[in-house]
Amino acid sequence: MPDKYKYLLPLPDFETKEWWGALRWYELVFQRCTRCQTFRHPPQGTCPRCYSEDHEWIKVSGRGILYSYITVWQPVLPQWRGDVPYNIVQVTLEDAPNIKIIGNVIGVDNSRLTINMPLVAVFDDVTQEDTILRWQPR
Amino acid sequence: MPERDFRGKTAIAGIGYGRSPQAPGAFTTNSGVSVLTLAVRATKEACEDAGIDPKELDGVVSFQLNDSVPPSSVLTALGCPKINYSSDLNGGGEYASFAIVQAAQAVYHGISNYCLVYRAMNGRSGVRMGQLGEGTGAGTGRVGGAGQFTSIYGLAGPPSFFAFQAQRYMALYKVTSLDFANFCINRRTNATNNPRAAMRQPLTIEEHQSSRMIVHPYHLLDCCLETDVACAMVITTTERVRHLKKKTVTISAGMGASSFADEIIDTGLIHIGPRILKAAGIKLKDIDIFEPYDNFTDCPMRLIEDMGWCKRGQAKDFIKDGRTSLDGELPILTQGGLTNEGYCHGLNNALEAVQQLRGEAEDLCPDWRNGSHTYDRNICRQVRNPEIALHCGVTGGSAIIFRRE
Repeated sequence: MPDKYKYLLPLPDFETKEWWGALRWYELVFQRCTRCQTFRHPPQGTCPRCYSEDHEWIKVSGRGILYSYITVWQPVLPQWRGDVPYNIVQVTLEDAPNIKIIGNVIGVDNSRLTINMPLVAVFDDVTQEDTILRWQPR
Repeated sequence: MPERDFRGKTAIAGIGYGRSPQAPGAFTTNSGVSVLTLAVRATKEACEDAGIDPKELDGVVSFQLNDSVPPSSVLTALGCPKINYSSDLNGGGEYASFAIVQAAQAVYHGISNYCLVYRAMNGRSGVRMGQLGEGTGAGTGRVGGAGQFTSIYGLAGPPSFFAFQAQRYMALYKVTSLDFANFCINRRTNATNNPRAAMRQPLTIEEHQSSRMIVHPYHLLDCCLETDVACAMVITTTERVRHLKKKTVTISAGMGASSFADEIIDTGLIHIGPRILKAAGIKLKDIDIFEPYDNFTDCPMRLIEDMGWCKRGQAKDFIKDGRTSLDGELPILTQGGLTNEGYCHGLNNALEAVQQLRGEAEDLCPDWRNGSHTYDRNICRQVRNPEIALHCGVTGGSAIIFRRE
């Protein structure tokens, strides 16, 4: 674990703190509507399908599929300027296919990224208090 | 259908750009004046074009992302005694057509007699769209809101948001960066005879391919051009415009302004396209020119496909053989688009549509102001006698059909 993490860290709020809290335990969870069983992400107060506020947090397998990806050569955010080119990906989840989640793929050359490539969640402890979700090929 | 009552009842009284002796083409990298001054300049020019006193303006619509001035302040700066309608839309390119539609609705319902639509921004020297940042919590090293799921991975700025759409589109439909280059060359050709355009040198495939990578798959020349600029349009009833200076260009139909697609390649025109044709009472083949929102190269390509001119993935072939050139069957981005003329958040592409329909495309023809064009493509970029134009906002979020009487 690096002493000083130079990138942006999340600022959880009352709707997202459970999501971030689960990552600390290396668990990937998503909100699922208890009325109509629809998954949703990012966390939000109401179900986009049936509008119910009732939900539970469901642990998923962490198996995902690469939906789309980019490699950044000219970053807007100064913290990343020393890391170009770096990848950012959108991943869909095997257990919740309607969800698309943003992340980075680690442990692979950017030129080998392809759409529909199978991925698996990785839990990256970037500080004493923060665990970030990333992805690697499976 | 309710749109039938609205059809053709409102029209464009005047259009204007924020020009000065230092910025005769309106689009610059450093205006050296405030956004309000730019807005007032454009509004004055639009009123001169219409032949009305700016003090007759009694309504105003604009859109912005905290980078402009409140709409009512522009009318106040012009000393307009009455403001009957004022709308400050919080958003970006999705409102490029809708802002005009909203002004037309205000006129149609009799709330405003002369309604101003403008977009003004020091988009290069001031607040830059391309730097659209990390979200809340900036400066603390932590980021909340939506950014806690995006910016923490180094994601910020429009090129990176749109590159996901481009990458998936290219991969699933075998579209390449060379196809992008072809689109960019066609579009640049139209800009060469546009005195307003910031980018006017003819473009080669090599120049496109060797321009630096911004966010893969976007090269620099795939990205639209941030500029300091203001554009304005005055809307009133068609009846009034018939008695004003310029040829009557009416608003046939318009709608929007936002969309969410489960498949990120899909644009709003899949939904809006058939509806707006029906509302305007026309068929797709009746459209003479298309002025889509071209923030990044794949976006107008997908808009061509989603409007129905060809199937998904086929725009790369549709644009070949001059089909979308000024003398082709569907001229597209006749002034060079946001990428070459400059970026007034899409409103400049609408002003261009109006100019074309009036037969007054601003080009190198000696007497273009009087609608006299040579059609010599070394100096002229006026399309031959277009009657109907389609303009749309970012990813087809809103759209409008203009028609010359």
